[in-house]
Amino acid sequence: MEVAQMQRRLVDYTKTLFMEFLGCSVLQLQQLQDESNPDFVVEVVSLFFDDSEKLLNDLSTALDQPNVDFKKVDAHVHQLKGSSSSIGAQRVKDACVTFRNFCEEQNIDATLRCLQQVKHEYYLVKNKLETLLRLEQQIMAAGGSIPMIEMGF
Amino acid sequence: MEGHIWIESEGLGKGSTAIFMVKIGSIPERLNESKLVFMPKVPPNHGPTAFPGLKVLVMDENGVSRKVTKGHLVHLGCDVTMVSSSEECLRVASNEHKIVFMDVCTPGMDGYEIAICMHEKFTKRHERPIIVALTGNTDKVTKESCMRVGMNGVILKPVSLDKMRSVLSDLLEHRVLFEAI
Repeated sequence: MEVAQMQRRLVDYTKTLFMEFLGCSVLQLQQLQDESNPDFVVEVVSLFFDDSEKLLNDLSTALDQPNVDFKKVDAHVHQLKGSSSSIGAQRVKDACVTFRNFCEEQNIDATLRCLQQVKHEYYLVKNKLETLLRLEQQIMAAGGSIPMIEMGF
Repeated sequence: MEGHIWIESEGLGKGSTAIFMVKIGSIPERLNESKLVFMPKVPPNHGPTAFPGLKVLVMDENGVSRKVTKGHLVHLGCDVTMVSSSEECLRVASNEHKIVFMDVCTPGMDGYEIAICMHEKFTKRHERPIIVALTGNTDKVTKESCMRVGMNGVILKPVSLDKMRSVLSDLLEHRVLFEAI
């Protein structure tokens, strides 16, 4: 496939992500990538994946205890909320907000449901981000550059 | 539908692709005014822009958030030091740092206390870095607490690149920036 076609595909995919999942952030992250920071997007996204998966594991463990330490659970969710907010994963962030509310209420059943919801949203956005990275890598492997996407408001 | 259609082909016997762009009615409300345009990569015009060599210290416990903030600042030309705890922050802060960004929304980490300690460490105003809180909390209590402990500013997260640029610009000019909450 030609570079121009791949670039077009990337642009279209990014637009979809913008509309459905990530807001301006996906464009923002690409803006931060430059000669001095050539792998920024991959690095941030990978870090997000690693951090989130660890937090999700910790959350599962914490909620599996006979006496759940809700403060600990809340602390983990707070971190996940922070990361997802930074990367623009709005739906994950929103799920975290709900999660934290139930932590305050110390509601086991609700928090378990929240964990499922957060995991669901996380895997959705992970899938989207992985596709985005793959498209970018294809372009770079073909010698092209990542197109700048301008928002006109 | 105000669109256009064209056909691309690599040549005889290689098949063709028909490509069309059309305007479709149902666009999410908030995007009514927006236009997404495909542009070849050109160096963005940063305007008054970059802040070459500006020494900035960032304290943030969250790894992803820290990396994104660093990405913004490095892109704007800053010389960035990152720390992840209040002890580190106090240890590392020097009068060479012009601005210190502190994430204050981590439960259990007292960003306010650090601000007070910074005032004690740097008694002379001209030596003291500009101290700015980064917070996801949009409540007056947070803002007032920050003001009370002598912080020079409060910024709401998440911060975009453009926002970071104007924040730095404002801070350097006025030494104060309290975002309307």
